Amino acid sequence: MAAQSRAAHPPGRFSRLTLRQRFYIVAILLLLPAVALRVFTAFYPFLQTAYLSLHKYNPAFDHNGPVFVGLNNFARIGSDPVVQASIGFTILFVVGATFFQLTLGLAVAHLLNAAFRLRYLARALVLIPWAIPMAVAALGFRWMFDDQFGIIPDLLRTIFGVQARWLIDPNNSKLAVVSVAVWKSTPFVALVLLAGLQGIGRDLYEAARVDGANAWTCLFYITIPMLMPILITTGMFMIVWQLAVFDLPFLMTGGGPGFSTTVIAQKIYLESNSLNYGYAASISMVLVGIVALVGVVGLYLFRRFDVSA
Amino acid sequence: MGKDEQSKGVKRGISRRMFLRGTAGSIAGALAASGPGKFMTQGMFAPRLIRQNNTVIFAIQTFAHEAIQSVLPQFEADTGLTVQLEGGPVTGNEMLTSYSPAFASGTSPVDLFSDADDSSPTFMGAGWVKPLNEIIPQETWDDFPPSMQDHIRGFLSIDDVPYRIPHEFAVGYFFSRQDWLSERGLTVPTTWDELVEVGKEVTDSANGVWATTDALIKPALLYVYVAYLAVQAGGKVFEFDDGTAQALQFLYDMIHTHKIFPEESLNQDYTAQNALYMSDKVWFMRQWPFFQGVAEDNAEWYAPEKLVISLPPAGPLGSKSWIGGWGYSIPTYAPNPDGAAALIQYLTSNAVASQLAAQQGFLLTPRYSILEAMADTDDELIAAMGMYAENDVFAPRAFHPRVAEAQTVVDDMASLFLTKQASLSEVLEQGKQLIAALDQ
Amino acid sequence: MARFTRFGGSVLVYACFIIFAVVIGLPFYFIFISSITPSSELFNIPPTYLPSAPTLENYLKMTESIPFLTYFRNSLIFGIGSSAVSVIAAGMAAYALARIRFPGSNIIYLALILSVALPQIAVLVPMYQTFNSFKLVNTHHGLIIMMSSLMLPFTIMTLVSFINQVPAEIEEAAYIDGANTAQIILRVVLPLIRPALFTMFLINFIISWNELLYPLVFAHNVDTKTLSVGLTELTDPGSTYTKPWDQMSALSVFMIVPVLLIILFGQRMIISGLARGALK
Repeated sequence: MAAQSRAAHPPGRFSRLTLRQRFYIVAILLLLPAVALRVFTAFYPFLQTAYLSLHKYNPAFDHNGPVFVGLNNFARIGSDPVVQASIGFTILFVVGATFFQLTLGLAVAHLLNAAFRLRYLARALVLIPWAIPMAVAALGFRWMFDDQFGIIPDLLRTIFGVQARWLIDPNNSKLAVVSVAVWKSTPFVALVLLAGLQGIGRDLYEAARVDGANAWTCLFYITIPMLMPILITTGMFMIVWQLAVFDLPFLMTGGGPGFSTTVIAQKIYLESNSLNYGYAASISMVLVGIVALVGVVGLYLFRRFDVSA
Repeated sequence: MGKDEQSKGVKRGISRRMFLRGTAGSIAGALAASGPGKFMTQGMFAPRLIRQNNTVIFAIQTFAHEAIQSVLPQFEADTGLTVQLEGGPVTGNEMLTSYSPAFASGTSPVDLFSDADDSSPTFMGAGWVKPLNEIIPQETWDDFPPSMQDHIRGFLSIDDVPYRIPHEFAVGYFFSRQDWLSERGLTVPTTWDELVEVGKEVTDSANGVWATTDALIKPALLYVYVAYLAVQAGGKVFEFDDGTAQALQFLYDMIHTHKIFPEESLNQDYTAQNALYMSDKVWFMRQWPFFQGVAEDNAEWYAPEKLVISLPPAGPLGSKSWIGGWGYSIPTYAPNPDGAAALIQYLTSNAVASQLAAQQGFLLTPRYSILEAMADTDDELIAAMGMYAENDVFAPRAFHPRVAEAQTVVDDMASLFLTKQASLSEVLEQGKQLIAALDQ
Repeated sequence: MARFTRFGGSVLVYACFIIFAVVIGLPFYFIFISSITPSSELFNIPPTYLPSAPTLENYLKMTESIPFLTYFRNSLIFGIGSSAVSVIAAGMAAYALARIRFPGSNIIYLALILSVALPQIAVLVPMYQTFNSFKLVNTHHGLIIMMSSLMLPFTIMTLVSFINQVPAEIEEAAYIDGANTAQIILRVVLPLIRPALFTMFLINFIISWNELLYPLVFAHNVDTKTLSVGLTELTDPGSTYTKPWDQMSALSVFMIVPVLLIILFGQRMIISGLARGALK
C-alpha cells in the first residue's frame, strides 16, 4: 500500500507479468551501485559500532580486547553530567537551526526565483556561505562575534545601540552559534527548494490568479503543499545531519561557556579521540536511535503529503 | 643525582648552567604522586609491511621542513635511505583524529612523526608508539639537563621507558611592558598580591586597557592557564585540591572582583591575546615563547622594552611555570622501522640537533649541545631560560593516564565557574567526580 | 494600477535582495579583507572595516605553508569524483525507487535513508580496517568511494521527490512507442530531471570540497591530501599554538572561487534544463 501511494502514477502500469520480471531485474541493476556503496561503508561499520556499544573498550587500557558489559555503557550515558548538560542545546541547535533554515530557505528560494535583473548575481552569491569551509566559518565568526575585536557587536552597538556580550554569555552564545548554523546552511536549503519551485507548473499560479488569489494564498495553497515532500525530505535531512555536527560549535566556542554550546556529537568526538571506542559507540547508537525515529516520522509525513500533492 | 654533581663540576656558560640547578627535587616529588599508567606489549602484533623501496616517511609541521631538508642530504648519503617529508596536524585533537584509526587498525601512514603533549600520552598508553630507550643512544639522553630528564620521565615515558624525545620546548613566560612600568615608576609584580595591587592601578577599562590577560577558550587553552596558576599555588590540577581551588578563585577574582583581566578572554585564543598585547592594551601576561617571534615580526610595534621577560608572579607555593613541548615518536606499526630508527637517531644526535635548533625555534629544546652551540647568540629566550632555571621556576606538566580527558574536565569546570554558571565548591566537587569516573 | 503593483513588487524584491546580500556578504567581506590585510594590522579595537594597506603577503605565506597546487588538484579530483559518482548512483537508485514497484523496495528505501544516521566519527576505526584491507587508504578512488557513499542517502531522497514530481505519462507514452528502459531513462527522464541532477551535483561537490574528516583520516600523503586538510596544516612560522587566521582566510578565498565559477558556468545549464522542462 505504501509503495502504491509513493508512486505518483496509477497502479498497475507495470502489471503485465512478462514485463514485471524484466522490471525487477532493471530495478536490481539500478539499485546495485548505491546499495553496494552503502553496504561497504555504512552497514558493516554499523554492525561494528553496535557490537562495540555493548563492550568496554579502550585500546590504551583494555589490552585484552573488548570486554562485554551489556548495557552498562548506556546506563552511563544516563548519568553522564556532560551528556545531561548538552541535551538542551543539542535540541535547540538541531530543531531551531532547521526551522529557520527551512523558513528562510523558502524565502530566499523565492527571491532567487523572482524575475529581477540581479537574479543571477543573487544565485551566485547565495552559495558563498555554503562554500566556506566550516572551520573557516567557525573561526571567522568567532572573530566577528568577539566583544573586543569583532565587527558584529560593534555594528549592533553603533547601528542599533545593542549592548550585549556574545560568546562569553551563556545564553547569547547559543543564539550566536545557531545563527551561524542558519547563515551557513540556509543557502543549501534554498537551492534545493529553488529546484523544487521551478518544478511547479506556472499554469497553477495563473489559474489561481484568475480566481483572485493573492500572493499569500498562492504560497499557502499552492507553493507549500507542492513543496511539502521536498520540505519534509530536506527538513528531515537537516535534523539528522545537524545532530551529528560538532565542528561549528566546537571551533567557534569550544562548546562553552561552560556547557552552554556543547552538543552531544562533540562528546562522541572527544570520546573517540580518547580511544573510548565502546562508550563512543554507545552514544552513537543512541543518536542512531533518535535519527531512526526522526526518519520514520519524516517518511510517514512524506508519504502522506506525497499522496495529496 | 650523580650526573647532576658531575655536570656541576664542568664549567660552562650561564646558558648551559641553567638546567643544572636542582629543579629535580620538586619535580620528582610531584611525579611520584601522579603515577604513570601501565604499558603492556603482549597482544600487540605488528603486521609489518614489506616496503620495496627504502623510503622513510616523516611527518612534521610544514614550517619545519626547510630546516629538516638542510640536514637530510648527509643522512641520505650515509644510509642510502630516502626521506619523504609530510605535513601534519597542528593540534593534539586533530593529531588523535588523524592517526588513531590507522594505528587502531595495526598500520601506520608514517615512519616517524612529531607529536604533541595532548595526543602523545594516548598513543603511548595504547602501545602505538615504540619505546625509544633502545633506539636512542644514552649519549643523546645525557645531553638533556636534569629538569628536562625529569620532564621526559614524567610526561614522555611510562615506567621510566621513554616513548617520545623532545625537540621543542614550551614554557609559560611572563612578559611585561617595561616601558610603561618605568614611565609610571612601577616595578613588575612579583607575587599574586602585587599583581592585583599593581593591576588595579594600571587597569583603565574605559580605554580597554587591562593589567593582564590570557587565552581562556576551550579546549586546552583554559586548561593551560589554570594549570599554570595551580602549580604556583602548589595544587595538583587533576585532583581539584586546595591549590587548584586557590588558583580558580584567584583567576575568578582577577576577572570579576578586581576587574583587571578582561572577561572577553574566556572566548579568545592566543592570536587574540597577542593582538591585544600588541595593540597596547595589556601591561603584562603569561605567554608561550613563540610570542617573542610574533612580536619581533611586528617590526612597526616592536621594541625590546615592550617585551621584557621576568619571573611569574609567585603564588602561595612560589614562582612557577610548567613545561611541555613537541617531540618525535616512532609508530609501533611504522612500515620502515629500521629507517625510522636511523632517522630519529640522526635527527636527535648532538651535532644535528644543534644545527636544526639554530634554524628553527620549533626544533630548539634545552640540551647541553644546543645551548653550547647557541651560547654566543644574543637570544632573549635563551637568557630567559637561564633566568627561570636559576630561580627554579620550571615545574613538570601535570600527568594523568588519560591526560586529554582530564584536561577537558578542568576546561569544563573552570569555564562553568568563571562564567558564573556554578560555584567553586560545585565545580570542585563535580571535577573530582568526573576525574574519578575516568579511572573506571 | 497593475503597473504600480509591479513597481511596488520590484522595490520589495530589491529591498529583499539588499538585505540578503548584506547578510550573505558581510562575513565573506570580513574573510576577504582578512586575507589581504597584514596579520599585525588585522585586529583592532574598535574593529576597522577597510584594509589599511592591502597586500598579497598572506597568500604567499599560505602557499609556502602547504603545497597548494597539489592539494588543489587533489581536492578537484575528490570533489568532482565524489559528486559525479554519488549523483549517478543516486539517480539510478532514485529512478528505480520512484518508478518501479517491486517487493522490498520500501525496505531498501528506508534502509538507504536511515543509514545516514551513523555519525561519521563513530565508524572511522571499522572503516579504516576495511579500507586498509582493500588497499584503499591514501588513494583517490578510496576517498571517492567513502565520500560519495556518505552523500548518497540525501541525494537519493531528493531525487526521488523530484522524479515523483515529473508526470509519468511521458514515459508511458514512450513505452507504448516501444522504447526500452535504457532509452527512456537517457532520452526522456534524464532531460526532465537534469536541473535536479545538476543541483545535486553542485551541492555534493561543495560538500565534498569542504569535507575534512575523511581526508584527514584516510589521506596521509601529499598525493591525496585535500585543501581542507591543508587548512589544519596551516601554521604561523615556528608556532603550533595559533590558528593563522590570515593564511586561513587566504586559503578559503581560494577555496570559494572555484565554487563560484562552477555556479556561474552552471546556471546556463540549469536554465536550459528548465526551458526543456517548460515545453512539457
